[in-house]
Amino acid sequence: MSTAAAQQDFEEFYRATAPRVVHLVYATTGDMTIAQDSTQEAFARAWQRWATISEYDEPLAWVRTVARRVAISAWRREQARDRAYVRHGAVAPTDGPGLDRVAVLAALQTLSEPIRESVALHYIADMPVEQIARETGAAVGTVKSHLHRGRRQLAEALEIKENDHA
Amino acid sequence: MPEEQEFQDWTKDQDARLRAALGSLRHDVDAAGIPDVRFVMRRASRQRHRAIAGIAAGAAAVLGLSWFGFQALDDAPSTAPADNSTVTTERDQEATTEQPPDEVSEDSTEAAPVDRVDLFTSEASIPDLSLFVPPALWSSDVFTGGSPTESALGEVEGTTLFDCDPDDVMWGGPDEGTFGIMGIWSDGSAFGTQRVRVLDTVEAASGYVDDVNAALSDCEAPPEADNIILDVQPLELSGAYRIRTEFADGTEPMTDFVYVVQHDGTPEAVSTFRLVDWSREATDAQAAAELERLGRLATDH
Repeated sequence: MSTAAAQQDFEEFYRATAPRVVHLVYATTGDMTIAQDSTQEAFARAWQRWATISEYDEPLAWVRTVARRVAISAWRREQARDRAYVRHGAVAPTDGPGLDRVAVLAALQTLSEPIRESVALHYIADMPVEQIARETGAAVGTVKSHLHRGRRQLAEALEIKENDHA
Repeated sequence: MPEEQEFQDWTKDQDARLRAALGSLRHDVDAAGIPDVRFVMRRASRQRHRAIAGIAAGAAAVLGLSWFGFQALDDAPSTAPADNSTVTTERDQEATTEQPPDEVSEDSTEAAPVDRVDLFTSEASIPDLSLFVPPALWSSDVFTGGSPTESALGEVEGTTLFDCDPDDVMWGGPDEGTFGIMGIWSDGSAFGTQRVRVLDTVEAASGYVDDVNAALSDCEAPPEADNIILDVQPLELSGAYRIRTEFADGTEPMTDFVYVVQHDGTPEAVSTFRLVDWSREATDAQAAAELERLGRLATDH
């Protein structure tokens, strides 16, 4: 692949997938700044290795994994601050989500980190259970358990009930 | 009610509304926007220059060229006498932005030990990092198709690696002891795990190996997991097993290979390896050979 072709290929890949990666990491961490920065970092690393990664069956899986990994490291460093916000009944998004999204972010923060990650990968990245297991290293049964517990907790937090369309 | 049944009872309507709630976060993403792709490429280019500068600085330090090393490490504009051959400028960085950089960073770290930040460990004490197989050495034709491998944190809440695992403690619990778990990825897929458990005595480590072996020999799916069937078979390699999981809901069967082995260099330490055969093509003999190779790399320490 020529340099120009590689650049165009990467640009198209970036434009098509970057918002989805930010969305996923944002849901996982609840922090837009971390989500944006970790996504940029993941794509920067992908560009460094584009000759190899572009040949993968799913380059997005690689970027998604790196972005989540970078974000979780950053997010853990911010945990003390986040815990302080949670204690006061609010999440700590840097750029200020819309009011209706505050409840969603707050509900996500009630989940443990592995459960939140499984939920985000399933509902935002539309990944089936087996693929989540593949990308996270958890056993299939563990992912199912995470989804089950995550659904139950989120449904309670967001008051999603059967036959309740309010 | 078994958890699996509750999992199945979750309605499509509930699913759709939860998906919509989480999907609403996309509004914030769209409002924030994403940077221009050239910014991302420039970021990659700067990282490459820093990596090259670091290598150059290291070489310079060896030669006693401390002034050059300082300049190469510093991203600030040079205060040195004009010598364009040795100073990385923003202009240089821009010039390389249009080309995919070489793969510098990963190649230069082959066989490096695992990074502490990539390990999931007990709170109280951490196994020596030399007890873990260096992440780059997990690459194999059978399990990664020859692709490079790297370590990273995965979804870990406790020490369990497989169904029936007797080493099942939650992180931070009073009985967690000394352990470290390393996850290995290749091509975006998590396929390998090494758990190092350090016991108080050599005898305790031997007993631990016996316990894991016994659990694997008798392993069956837990009663509440009525949607899976486990088939566990020993491999030719002592301490190694194939675990095949079949799912009633139509999910493709999965095959894991597990191997438990006591270290020679540190006989209080026990490594348990788990390899996931995502290709579904690994034979028992190939898996045993690969597990034996990984075991040898670990147990000398």
